[in-house]
Amino acid sequence: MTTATPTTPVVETIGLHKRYGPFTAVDHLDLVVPAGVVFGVIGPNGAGKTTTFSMLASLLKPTSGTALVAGVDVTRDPITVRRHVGYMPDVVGVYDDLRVDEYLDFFADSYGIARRARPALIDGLLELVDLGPKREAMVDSLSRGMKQRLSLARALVHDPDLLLLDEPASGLDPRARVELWDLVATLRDLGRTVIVSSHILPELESACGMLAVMSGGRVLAQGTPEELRRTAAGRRRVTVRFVDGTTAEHHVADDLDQARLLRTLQDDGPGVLEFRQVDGDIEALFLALTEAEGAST
Amino acid sequence: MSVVNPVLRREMRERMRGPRTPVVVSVHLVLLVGLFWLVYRGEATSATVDDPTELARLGRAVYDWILAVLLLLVVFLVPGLAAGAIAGERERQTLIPLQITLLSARRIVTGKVAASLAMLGLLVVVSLPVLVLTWVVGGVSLGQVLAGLVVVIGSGVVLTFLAVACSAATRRVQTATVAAYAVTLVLVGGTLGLYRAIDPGVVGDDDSPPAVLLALNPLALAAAATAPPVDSAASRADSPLSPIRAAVAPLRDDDGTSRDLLVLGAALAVALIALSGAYATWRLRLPTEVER
Repeated sequence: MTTATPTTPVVETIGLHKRYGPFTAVDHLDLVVPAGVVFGVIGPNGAGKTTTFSMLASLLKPTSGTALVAGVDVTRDPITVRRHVGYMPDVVGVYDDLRVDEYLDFFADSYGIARRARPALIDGLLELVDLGPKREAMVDSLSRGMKQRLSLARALVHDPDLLLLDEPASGLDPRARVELWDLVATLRDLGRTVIVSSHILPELESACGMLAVMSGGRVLAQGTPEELRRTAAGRRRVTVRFVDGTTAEHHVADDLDQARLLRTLQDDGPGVLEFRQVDGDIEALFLALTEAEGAST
Repeated sequence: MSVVNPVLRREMRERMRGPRTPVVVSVHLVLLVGLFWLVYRGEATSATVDDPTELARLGRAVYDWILAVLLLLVVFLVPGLAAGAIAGERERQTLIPLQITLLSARRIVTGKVAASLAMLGLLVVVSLPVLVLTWVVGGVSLGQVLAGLVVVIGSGVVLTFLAVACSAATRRVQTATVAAYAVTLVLVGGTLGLYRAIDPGVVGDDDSPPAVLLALNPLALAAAATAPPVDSAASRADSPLSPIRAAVAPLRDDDGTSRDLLVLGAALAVALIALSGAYATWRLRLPTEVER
């Protein structure tokens, strides 16, 4: 299913807001995700990632604001939105008493795919997620990583424009994580638009063409990894260890600021033993932004 | 989308896999035949086969026992079978992937109800030859056999809808099961107990307590729907339904039938099915909104 052109954003949210009683889960979110990119969302627990995903998947009504998926309003036409979206929740449940092919056949049936088209579709999906040899195995017998890949195949069964993967690598062993991110890269190469959340920034950084840092229900920064790195360069962090064993941490704007800090510490402090620039990367930016957000809330 | 509900098809595939279903059906059939034989042997005397009156009493006793066991099967089996329908999906974390498909909330609920009823249907179907055998013995008409079956199936449908509603309301299968059995207990034991406890004078009816209480009770409806004619040989049979028939006797119409009670029971059953079905559908309509 491909209705969005490269110039059309697959996802666009305007002032998207979700409140549960007094708690604001998503706070006037403005997000644009172009077609054909892998868009990573990173944020601490409670940042609003899952709530955002649920609203984009039409599983949750926004309190206010608009969310468009492939140009379709998620509140006004949820059924059409579901034709465009493949969603893999953060906790993946599967039907253990079915065979792998029966599992996919059930979901294909639930998306209204004709019976005669299903065998070829299932073969293709299993090949894509590298579960071809497990076609007739019971779902119960699969490893966690395999179940995760099966779940991804399930999300792809109706050929959606947009894939929402909520913490897809959570709980997987290192090998399974690598396999999963390889799969995401394959989907990117196939021209899919993928929005993926993770707690592990280096993984997102390498897999995603665009990134957003979320905290407190808001996007604090977004752009390509390169753009974020440039932003991060302006938020340099320095750790200092003094001869008396104490440590300190400072934020500096640039090289000049850093040199000035060093001179001040040497003149006034107990003696600098170690002076180290530890940031300038996206991880540092993430930490700085989320710490600042945490302090302000 | 298939004509057959995909949820029903999947559930049947899961439930029919392995030896459990054939074993349950076989055990049920053996127990039913054993019960038939025990009651027959217990009630029959050497004179019975020669005396049509005694034969009618014997046939009625066997029929009532079989019907009572089928009703108890519904009462004990249905809440257990249906309570996990939706709560089980929640517990297994499979509900959201199901709800993101193009299946409507109503289709998911009907698939779940149908799947829960399928096992009961299977057990009723295998019970048919035994029920028909009681008609062959005598003391019960074919119409009464059918009426008993309708009450058994109708009770199963109502209790299934109620159990699925309990399942839609809760996060845990255990909670849903307790709630479903509690509702069933109220309908089966509570209504009968209340009916007996109410003083007719208090409710302003000189003849009997409100019929609506028994119109919700599967045992009372079965007893009323299959009651033998007053003063017939079959009416003298001693069975588990006899005391319940005595309780519903004041509710009989002038023509000796319990038509009003049965019509009221059918109307209440339809209302309960509609309400519980609508509630379960509403619970599934806004998935994560309600999940939180």
